[in-house]
Amino acid sequence: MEHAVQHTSALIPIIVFLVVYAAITLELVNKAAAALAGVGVLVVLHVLTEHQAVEFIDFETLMLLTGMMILVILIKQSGFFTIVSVKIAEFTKGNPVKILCLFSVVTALMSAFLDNVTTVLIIIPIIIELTRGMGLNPKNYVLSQAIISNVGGAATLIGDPPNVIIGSKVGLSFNQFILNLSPVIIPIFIIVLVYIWFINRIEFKPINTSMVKLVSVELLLEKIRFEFSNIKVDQKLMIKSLACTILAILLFITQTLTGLAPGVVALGMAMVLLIISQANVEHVLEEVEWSTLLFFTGLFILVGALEEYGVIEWMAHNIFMNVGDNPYVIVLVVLWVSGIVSGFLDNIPFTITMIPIIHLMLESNPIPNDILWWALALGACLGGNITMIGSSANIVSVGIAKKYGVEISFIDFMKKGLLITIISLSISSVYLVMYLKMSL
Amino acid sequence: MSTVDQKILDSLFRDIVKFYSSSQTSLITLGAMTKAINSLECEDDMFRAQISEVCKIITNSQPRMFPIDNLIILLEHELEKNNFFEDKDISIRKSATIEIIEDIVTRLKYDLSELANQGLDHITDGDFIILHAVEEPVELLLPEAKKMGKEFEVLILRQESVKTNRVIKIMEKNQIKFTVIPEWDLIHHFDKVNKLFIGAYAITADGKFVSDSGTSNIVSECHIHKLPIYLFAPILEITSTFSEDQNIFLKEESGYASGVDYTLISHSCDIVSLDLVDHIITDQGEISKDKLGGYCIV
Repeated sequence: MEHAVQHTSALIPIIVFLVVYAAITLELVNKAAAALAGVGVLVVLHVLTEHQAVEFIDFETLMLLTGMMILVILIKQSGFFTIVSVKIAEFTKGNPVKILCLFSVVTALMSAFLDNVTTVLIIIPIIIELTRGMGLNPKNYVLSQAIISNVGGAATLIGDPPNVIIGSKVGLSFNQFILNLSPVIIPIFIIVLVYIWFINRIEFKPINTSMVKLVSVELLLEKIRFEFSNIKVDQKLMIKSLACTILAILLFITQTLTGLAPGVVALGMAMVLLIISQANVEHVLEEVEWSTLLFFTGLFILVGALEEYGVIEWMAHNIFMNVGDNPYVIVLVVLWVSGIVSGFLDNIPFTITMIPIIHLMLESNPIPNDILWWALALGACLGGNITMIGSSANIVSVGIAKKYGVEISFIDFMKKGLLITIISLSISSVYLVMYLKMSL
Repeated sequence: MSTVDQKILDSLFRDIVKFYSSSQTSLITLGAMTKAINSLECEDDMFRAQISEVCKIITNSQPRMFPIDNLIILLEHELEKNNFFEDKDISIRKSATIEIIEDIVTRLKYDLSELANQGLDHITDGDFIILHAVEEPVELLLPEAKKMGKEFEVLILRQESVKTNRVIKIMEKNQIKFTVIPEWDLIHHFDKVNKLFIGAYAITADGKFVSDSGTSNIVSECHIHKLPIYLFAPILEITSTFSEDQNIFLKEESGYASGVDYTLISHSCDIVSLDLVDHIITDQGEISKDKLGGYCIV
């Protein structure tokens, strides 16, 4: 009975989990409400005690997310992101290729070291203003930034929620993420960018052959400069918030020396910043995405219940371990299944569910150098590019675009996103296979 | 000339003139032209056509905007006079064109500083002046008067937030005492205020002036209450064209209120009769409206 589902009693957590998953995917109710309602049902039905429920919560992940959210909120309040966006806009001088490349580089970097939802919240409005004012179609630029934010976010431990979860729950360090994922994310970024340019090359023609367009761009930059200069810039807060964020990243990098977990570092630096900046804590806390944090909390408990009742073990043995014991096949299955599932379902619950499954897979088929975890991270992050509901950054980007009158349909997104995901996952496959070959 | 290019530039003009006066918008446009010429890469024989295209788009803008409209005509005259340096290569043509634009910029800046100087005589200690948009008096005159140590106060009529915010910012930056009221509340303040200062996009040949939207109501109300109305405009804003030729932009937006869909129609600017204005102050001093035609430079 040890490796089998405890049949009758496991039915309740399975049903609750599936109902919650369906409610989240179909966006029937708020994600956090769905997850916590599921937990409530399990506790009321005595499937779990409240103490067991609390034990399943991964506080390391929550601390890391909360800390990074607070740091990003204060950087945003300082006006730093606005200055960066306006400077890039000025630097591009309205050249379509420069707009694509520079904004993509900044989006990728910001997504890697901050978070991709904040990144698109900052970048998308300015890129729409800039491209629309030049008579270009903003749609392609919005799509490209959403896609690039997912690619950039895949490079680090803090870049995308699946990586935060994997890093915290598996105990992988910031450096391990950078060292193992950036060698594949950098070429993916370049190839995706070239691909985006290639399919839109007619639109990316230089404008310096048209005096009218050049005058328009200069006037447009003046307008953008004015509009965005009205946002309050707090230099002292900017220096303090950037210093704390850089220090946090340095502490992530030196984790092996300091022994400080990323969650402790992020939350610690956030608290230091709140104290030294004398920021209005109530206002900052109002901006923290409590709904996301509660969503994570609920999911940890729901998946914990499945684990407790042997469901995860059963899934690992009967679904994933059926692919055999060829390590190459296992790695590729994890990568592509994660990629495809993350394109259509929320990648956060998927990652939380997959972690115990991969632990079990590794027990029977040890794969060196954490390659299976990298496969999960790459699949979950890059797969989010298949559809507009595949990642939070996509949903937010499409939402902002709509607010600015740029309609992006599910099909519009998928037309570009699907092929880009196939390209990204194919490059990841080559990388993981080569990495595995060198490791075996 | 592409209609898309025309529409883009028109929309940019309409946006920028909300933050700046039409004179400042003209300076910004001339600056944009200089930068554009520097970045332009085209065949030698296409340069003239490129300049002409920009000039045509600017003079056809919706709405037409002065002084840039007149300045563009001056630019074209200068280029024609020099036969557009036809025998020279593009780099010489570029630098010669930029030189002409810079001369025009210098002239406009001089005219604006003269306008501010002339306007100073019309501000006295204890004045309580009504303002409503970012126009020449707001950008130039009042900051200059404050610097000269004149003690006055302004009443800002709140209209479109982007315009009002900018007026407030300029007043605050120059430490000018101000009170903000909604435009419709003006009736309660006529016992305190003593002047209305306004600017214009253009002064037309049929005895009217084109101004920021909302001007007409305020001018009419102040006229009824016999409040002195001062119009500040550089001579370069006087045009030989008529008010109906000013390409006023008509905007239609869909609106929704309590379950009812409707169409909101608005115009980019107002046309007001100069008969309602008591003083027309230019860079050449106060001039009577009957003699405006004689000052038209183009």
